[in-house]
Formats: sequence, structure tokens, C-alpha cells
Amino acid sequence: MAPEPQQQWKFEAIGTHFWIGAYQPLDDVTWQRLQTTITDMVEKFDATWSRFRSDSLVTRIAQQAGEYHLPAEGRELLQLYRALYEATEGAVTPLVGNTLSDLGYDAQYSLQPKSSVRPVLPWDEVMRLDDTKLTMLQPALLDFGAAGKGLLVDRIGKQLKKAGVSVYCVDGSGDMLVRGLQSGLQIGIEHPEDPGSIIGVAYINDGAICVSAPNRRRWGASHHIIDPQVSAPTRGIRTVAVQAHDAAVADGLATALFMVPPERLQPAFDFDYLVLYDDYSVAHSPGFPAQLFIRQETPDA
Amino acid sequence: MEDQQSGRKRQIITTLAVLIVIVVIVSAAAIANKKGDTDNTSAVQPPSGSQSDSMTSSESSSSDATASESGYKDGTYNTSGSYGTPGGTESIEVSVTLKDGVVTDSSVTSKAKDAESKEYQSMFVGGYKQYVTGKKINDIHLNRVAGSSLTPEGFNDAIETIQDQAKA
Repeated sequence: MAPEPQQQWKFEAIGTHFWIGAYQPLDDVTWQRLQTTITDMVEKFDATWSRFRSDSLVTRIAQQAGEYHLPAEGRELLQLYRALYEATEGAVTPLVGNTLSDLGYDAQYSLQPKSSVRPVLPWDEVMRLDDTKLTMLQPALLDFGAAGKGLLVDRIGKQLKKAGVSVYCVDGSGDMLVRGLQSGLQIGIEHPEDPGSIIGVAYINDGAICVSAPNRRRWGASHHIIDPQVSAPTRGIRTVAVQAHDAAVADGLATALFMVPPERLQPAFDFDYLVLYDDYSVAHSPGFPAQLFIRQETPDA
Repeated sequence: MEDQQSGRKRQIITTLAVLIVIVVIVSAAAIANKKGDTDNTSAVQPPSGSQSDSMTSSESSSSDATASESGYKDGTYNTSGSYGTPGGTESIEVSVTLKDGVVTDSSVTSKAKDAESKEYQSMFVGGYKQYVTGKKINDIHLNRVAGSSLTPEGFNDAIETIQDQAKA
């Protein structure tokens, strides 16, 4: 029997919805205090990494070359991006910012593509990371949409643990972190064209699962997952789900799998995956912890 | 020479195709026999005209089996088929998951050791496509649902504005 949370809390942040559940006894005072701590942390995270805010570190970086001192999580975030960048041979990169923005996913949400879309530049031509010091050789709009929310989910998890909560679920709308449960939470994997249905149920008791699909952040002929090879949105895949130990890794890999096959990522990362293609055929690793709803008849080729 | 090779490849692929079908049939038979809760091992003869020396299907097993109304037990059934190749005996594994008498999941896993066999099997496993279908959330007990991120209001507002403009 799937467990029910003893405390839960829903809030909106970084432009999406969060839900936190604690699956252990917890007094209201502690829970309230935790909510304040987490609210502050999320606000700081957003004020640093959002490319949609004029006061953010990312916006400053986009305006001027030079040296920038990153906050504590910056090293972790940039190092993960660098690992993804190398494993995908440049397919996952924070340097998609200008391209996304030119395609219309800009700070004003114009959703109107510009006449010329800037290409994605190679990492080493633009910036260097030395611990928490980021040197911008030229200004560039960085976008941490591929793994930023996952990292935030992990950080919320760490706050919970610090406050003595060891059995919990942090649901960052598609990025989920579960810790310490005896039996798995039953997590439906959304049907990309019908939000009222699911294509399968994943079971997670201690780990992260991230689902990525371009079905919501979509405008005109574009969506928010960009393939740097062509500086255009990806094609052919409807949904990717990744199970890994941490949400940041799962989140980043979920984007990566839109562009590179799993074999390319397996040497560098420990994960299980599910890929749903345009024709609703699926591929998944043997260990992907889900029951899928398999159609019995196959469509004509 | 090249023609010969591709002909040989075709032949091996065809043989594998026949083998997979046999393994699936044997799995189904094994599952049917599972009703009586007896362990099952069966072997089949290779089809004539094939270049493989022998093929057997064995190791039918189930896990988490609980009886359902259909008479078939819920659970995951695995079976593997083996066949002789010039490079030695190779095997391929088929897994079928039953729930309430319906196959809810199935997969074919390559167990090949030899590089050439691996290539042929992966062509097969790759060609063995499964298609998913949707089920209404109301019908299933869930803790959470994971999909793409719910979008910020700004994004949705912008889409609505553009749609309104398009209508005007």
C-alpha cells in the first residue's frame, strides 16, 4: 500500500509548481519553520539563476564579460553542466540561452522568433570555470533550464534532511525526489497529449525521477528543448523519463536523451531511462522501475 | 562475395525471427501452464532449412505471482531461448508481465556474447517495438503524476494573447 504524507505543502516558485510531502510524524512548528527556510532558499536560487529576471546573476553575466563569483551551488550546477556537455559532445549546454531567447522564449515571453537566431557557441570560447569563479570571455545568456530545477529539488531535499525529515518527496512539477520510503511511491508518467491520462506507473522509494516533454512550453513551431547542432527545437521524441539518485542528474539527462542515445551517457552517469517516440513506441533500460501500459496491436508501419 | 554475405545475414535474421516467435509461443504456453502452478521447461525443434544447429527454450519463471480472475497469475514471466551459431551457443531472453490476464509489459533482451551475434540480436531487439497507450488517471491509484513542468503564468498569458491576436 502506497504511503500517505503526514505533512504536505504546495507552493509556486521559479515559474512552476512545487509540492513537498513528509512521510513521518512532524510537528507543525517545525514544518512552518521549514517552509520559511525553503521559501527563502528558493527565492535566492531564482534571484541568482533565472534568465527571466532583470536583477539576476545570469542577467548580469549576459551583459558583460569578466569574472563572476558564484554562490555555493554554482560550482555543482556548472560542473554538472560541464559533465553533460562533454558526455553529449555539446548537445546539453547552458549556452542555449541566446538561441532560446531569439526563438521567442525571452524574458518578455514575446514568443515571436527573431529574423535571425543566434547559434549556440562552444563552451570554451565563452567561459571558464575555476571552482566558484566563472570567467566570461564574452557576455552570454546562460540558460539552466535543463538541470536547474532538478538541482533546486535536491537542495530542498537537503533542507528537509537538515531539519530532521528523512522520509519525504519533493515534487518540482516533473522533477521528483523521494527519500527514505519503505515502499515505492506510485508516480504516474503523464501522457504527452492527454494530461488526464498516463502511459505507465513508476515506483520510486529512494531516488529521483524526472520527466521532460516539450508539450507545455511550446509556441508556434518551437518548444523549449533546443538541439545546438541545428540551433532549433528537437524532433521525434515526445517524452523522456530518467531515474537516478539525484534530481539534478536525472533532470539533465532527461534533456540530454532528446538529443543523444542512452549509450553515450551510460559511461558517465548511473541512470535508468524511458524514451517515448512520436509514434508512441517506447524504449527503456531493463532497470527502469515502471509498469507501462503496452498497446497490444501495433499500428501499420 | 558481398551478395553472399548479405544473403547470409538475411538468413540469420530470418532464423532469429523464427526463434523469437517460437520463444514467445513457448512463453505463452509456459504461462498457460503456470495456472496449475507447475514449473515448466520445454524445448522445441529448430525449423527446417535454418542454419542453426539447435534451439531450445527454457527457464520459464515467474515472480510476485498472485492469482487473478482470469485464471492467469499476475507477475513477470521470463524465458530464454538458445541457439547454436558458428561462434558458439547464444541466447536471447523474453520477459512478459501479466496483470489481470493482460500482458502489460514485454521485452526482448539480447544475451549474446559473440560480437556478430550481438549485432544480429540488437537489430532484432531494436526492431521489436512496443507501443504504449494512455489510461485515465481516475482509474489508477497514484501518489503523484510526473509530466512536463507546469508552465508559468507569464508563458500561458503570452500564448493566450497570441491566440487572441490570431483570431482578430
